[in-house]
Amino acid sequence: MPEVVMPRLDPGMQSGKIVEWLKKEGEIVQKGEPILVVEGEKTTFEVEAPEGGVLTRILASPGTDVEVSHPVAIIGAASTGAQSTSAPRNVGRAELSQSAQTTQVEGHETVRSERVVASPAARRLAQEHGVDLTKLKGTGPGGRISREDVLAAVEQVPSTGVSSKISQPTVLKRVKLEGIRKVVAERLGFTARTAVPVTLTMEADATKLVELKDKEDHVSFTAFAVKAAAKALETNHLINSTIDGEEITTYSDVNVAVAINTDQGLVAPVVRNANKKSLKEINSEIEELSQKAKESRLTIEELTGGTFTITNLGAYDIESFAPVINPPQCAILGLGRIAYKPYVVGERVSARPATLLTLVFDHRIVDGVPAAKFLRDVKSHLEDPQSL
Amino acid sequence: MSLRELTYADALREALREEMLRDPNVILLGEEIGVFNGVYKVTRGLLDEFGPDRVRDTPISEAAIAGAAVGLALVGMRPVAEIMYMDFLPICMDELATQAAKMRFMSGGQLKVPMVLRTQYSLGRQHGAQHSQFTPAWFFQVPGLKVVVPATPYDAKGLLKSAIREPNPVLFLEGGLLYRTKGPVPEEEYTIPLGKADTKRNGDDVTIVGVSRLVGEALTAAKKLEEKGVSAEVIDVRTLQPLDLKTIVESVKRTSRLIIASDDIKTGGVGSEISAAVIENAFDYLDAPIMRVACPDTPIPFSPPLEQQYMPNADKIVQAADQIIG
Repeated sequence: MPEVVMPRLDPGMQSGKIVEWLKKEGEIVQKGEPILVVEGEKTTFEVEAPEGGVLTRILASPGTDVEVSHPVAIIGAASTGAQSTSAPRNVGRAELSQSAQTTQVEGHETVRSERVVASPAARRLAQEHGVDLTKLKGTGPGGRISREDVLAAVEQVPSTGVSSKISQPTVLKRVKLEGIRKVVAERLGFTARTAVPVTLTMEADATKLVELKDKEDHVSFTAFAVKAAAKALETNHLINSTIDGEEITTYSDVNVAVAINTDQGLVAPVVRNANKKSLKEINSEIEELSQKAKESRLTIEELTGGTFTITNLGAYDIESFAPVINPPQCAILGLGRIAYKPYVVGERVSARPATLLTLVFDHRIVDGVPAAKFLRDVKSHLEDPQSL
Repeated sequence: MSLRELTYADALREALREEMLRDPNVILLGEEIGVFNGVYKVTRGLLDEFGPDRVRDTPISEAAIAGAAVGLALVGMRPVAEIMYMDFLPICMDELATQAAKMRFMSGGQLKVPMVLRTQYSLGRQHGAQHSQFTPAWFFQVPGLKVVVPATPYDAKGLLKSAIREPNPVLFLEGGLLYRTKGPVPEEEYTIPLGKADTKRNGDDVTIVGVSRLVGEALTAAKKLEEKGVSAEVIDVRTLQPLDLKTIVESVKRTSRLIIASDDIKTGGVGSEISAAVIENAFDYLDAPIMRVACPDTPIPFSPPLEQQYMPNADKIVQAADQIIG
């Protein structure tokens, strides 16, 4: 009997959350028919039946996280009806209804999502301390996870050295790290642990940019920056790279990811071949991606393949900031606000609109001078926006 | 407090005597309580001291004893009636459950029934299936009836004095095997309020709630468990109605495990009720199934070896603890 397994949507995906089942146990499903909705790390998607038949058994209920390539359902032959749960022989691979590229699902274990045997006290303590019961081994009768098992797990977590008897701050709420928040935490945490970030800051005169922006209605500063960076990346190849273990990959395509804040958290959809697109095209593409991000409608295609990232906190009056590199990329550009600043010309001080550009790059990939050159190029393009 | 030791029976006798001296309305009635001094000698000497008007031998009619007690209580006396075996209580059921328990409620408080019905259960004395039963669950679900189950001489005296002073009907259940057990009883006046359990031993790993005779067995079990490194808390319920659920729940919240040991039938028994109440109030604190150590669902065997097999005891409590402590 074919199993439906959790598909891997991009190389970084480790698990997906079951959002809902579109079919019930016992229902007949056609090959290619969507049978469940899964929330991946970046978006939600429908999973199709790999074979036609009867949805014999659902192995993971909505809300549960299932590791990639672990089974989520079994589809039996239509004529035989409900099947026993004997180990499946043929393993079907769930197909995506989206056109996103999928990585080959490697060999998998036939692990069933079974109810964790834990006492009520253990469950309460696990909830209070954020302990994942599925990762514990029960030492109680029949392997039941007991109060002591959870407390032991809690003690293994490095403590703050503060006795639990000392009054702790009142908790407003606890939210499980999942979905976008989990991705943000894992990816940025990964960067912080592995990358060697170096920060460069440069001021750019924004006089012409402001003038042009007034003329070119509705074109955002971010769009200008994407175009400027894309142009600079055309000649500063090494900045337009990614790193994967021992390998650095430099790209001829310039795909600029743009960080967008949503209620669910941060996403960074990609403006592909930004160097070949006009300012207006880039601007409208960013607007469209923002809208989709806010509605959680971004596709895997739109969320993957970035070679460089731009993030803009200028709208929040941030002067300048050093963002965290978006792995596995080499560098990220942080944009601060545009504001009038004192500018010295000869012996006179005048006020001019200016902005601070902050480049954070991974020193494992590139050294300081090439990065500085790149940033200077970005600055030049922004100071001469007509050329964009 | 003096270190004087009394038997359970003598402690009860002291309670009766002191209350009779304190309140002339307190009178005793029952089978063979006067001339014969009581089958278990609880009323020894009281006929001589207080005379036949206050210590009344009755015919062998449990219905009449209970009915007379209800009537006496309704006209302002404080009768303490004795039923020789708990097994005979069904004969008094109408007087107890239908009359005594409901009068105050149905009269809007105009009537009161301040009576005590004393009786005992003889499990373990080879008295056979009709003279050995402990059936508190038949009564503790009758609203209006208080059910008291003293386990020690100290508690027996203090609780009986409170029961006699109680303005509502009280069923006072004594342990037949406990009459000859001894324990410290102070000479000074004291009472024990109805509805307060007593923690007889403190522990961290498991709570054992004992009822009547099994409080002592629970303490023995706790000692055996201590040798295994298990720290058991022993709570004596002392009264089943009202039940001091607060003390039990607070203990379970600390220990996370509960065993209820009672000499009644397991099905629908005291343990079932306490178990359900604890689940309702402390579900998230339980680390193991709640265990009931009670009698199997058969009539009590007369054969002494079989009766020993049948009865709950310290070893069975230890076994239950072993099952729920990994």
